[in-house]
Amino acid sequence: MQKPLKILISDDSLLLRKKLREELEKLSCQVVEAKDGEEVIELYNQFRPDGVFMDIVMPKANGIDALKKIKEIDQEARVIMLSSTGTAANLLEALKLGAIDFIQKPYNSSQIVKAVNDMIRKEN
Amino acid sequence: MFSQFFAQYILNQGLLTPSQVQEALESRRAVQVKLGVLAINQGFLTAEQVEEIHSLQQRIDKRFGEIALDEGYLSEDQLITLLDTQDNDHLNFGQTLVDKGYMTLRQLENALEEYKLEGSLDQQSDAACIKEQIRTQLKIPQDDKNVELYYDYISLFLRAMVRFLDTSPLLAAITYEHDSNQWFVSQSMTGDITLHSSFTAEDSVLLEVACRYSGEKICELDELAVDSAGEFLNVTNGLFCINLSNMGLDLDLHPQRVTKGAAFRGKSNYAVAIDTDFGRINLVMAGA
Repeated sequence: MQKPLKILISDDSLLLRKKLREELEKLSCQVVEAKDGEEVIELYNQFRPDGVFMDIVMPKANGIDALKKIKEIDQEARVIMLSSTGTAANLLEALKLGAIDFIQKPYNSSQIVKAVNDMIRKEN
Repeated sequence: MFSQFFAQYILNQGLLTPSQVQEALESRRAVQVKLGVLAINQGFLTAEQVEEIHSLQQRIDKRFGEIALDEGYLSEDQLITLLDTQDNDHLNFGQTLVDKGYMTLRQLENALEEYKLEGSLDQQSDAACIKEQIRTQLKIPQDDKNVELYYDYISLFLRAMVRFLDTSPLLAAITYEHDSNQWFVSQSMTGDITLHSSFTAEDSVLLEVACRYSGEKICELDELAVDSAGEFLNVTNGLFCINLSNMGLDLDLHPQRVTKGAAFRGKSNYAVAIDTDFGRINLVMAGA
């Protein structure tokens, strides 16, 4: 049996974390939560998750800065940005920094399923 | 969205009270528009002809369409057109007004005619249509360089209320007085331009916004409720930033804040009161 994916989600919104956790647990993922751009870096170091879902607008450090730091820690980190601000500039910057995808809020379940499948494919 | 425009038009014209309009908007989903109203809307029949067919229906066991064909009021092609458009949203609203006795068929006929004459129906996109109605209600000084953006923002906010809160928002007034008992949900957008956007609402309204946006059963104004109301504004503003980005204006969103009784900052504040089936929201915007 394949071991469950360990996913780190980072968003200052309690609602978003709750909803995303429910989606991911339905897909049998193990979920760890961060509330801001500093905590996500700490938790990445600590847990080395298989993938990260991360907001852009967050307190302490924004998602773009946190993405840079995570990539410094782990070049192979699989990060998907999940944000309400899906502007062309944000999208390009995130992809340039190595994010594997960018999902615009509000998302739907099928986008999350696809993102998790992409993470599994990258792992294999 | 069509019923929204027509409802706002009826309200602006003072043809009905806000509570009548709101009640009809809420009821319209359960109503299937009848062929008579459809025929008036299409200009196939007059209100008198519809009334005559209705009175014939009381004596003859035939459907409306059959009698209209028998009497030579409608052609077969016209009847097919009417049957095809029977799920038209704004007409469901019109049908509700008639069913509730708020308007006679004649009054509805006049209102639809006037409404169409103003070019509000079928000829413009949803967004342009809402924007035009806001422009007639909210007189922002034309020398404010962000005037069009405010109109765009209000238009988007109203559409977000329909989409995310499943309500039928109606612009009610343009005055707003700060009330320290109200919740204040705010977020700033800075970059090529600056826009501070916020909405205020009393406890019960904020709780309803939170429940409807999140889809969660939230019984009190706890952390999840406050966060959900903030997320509603955040997602709405995210869509606004994307629209501006497509126009070549780049803005950064700042984290949203939800507090009670906060005051608003900014040089020029513009406010609109928006009525919904669960109470009033005041949308307040300010520039740099």
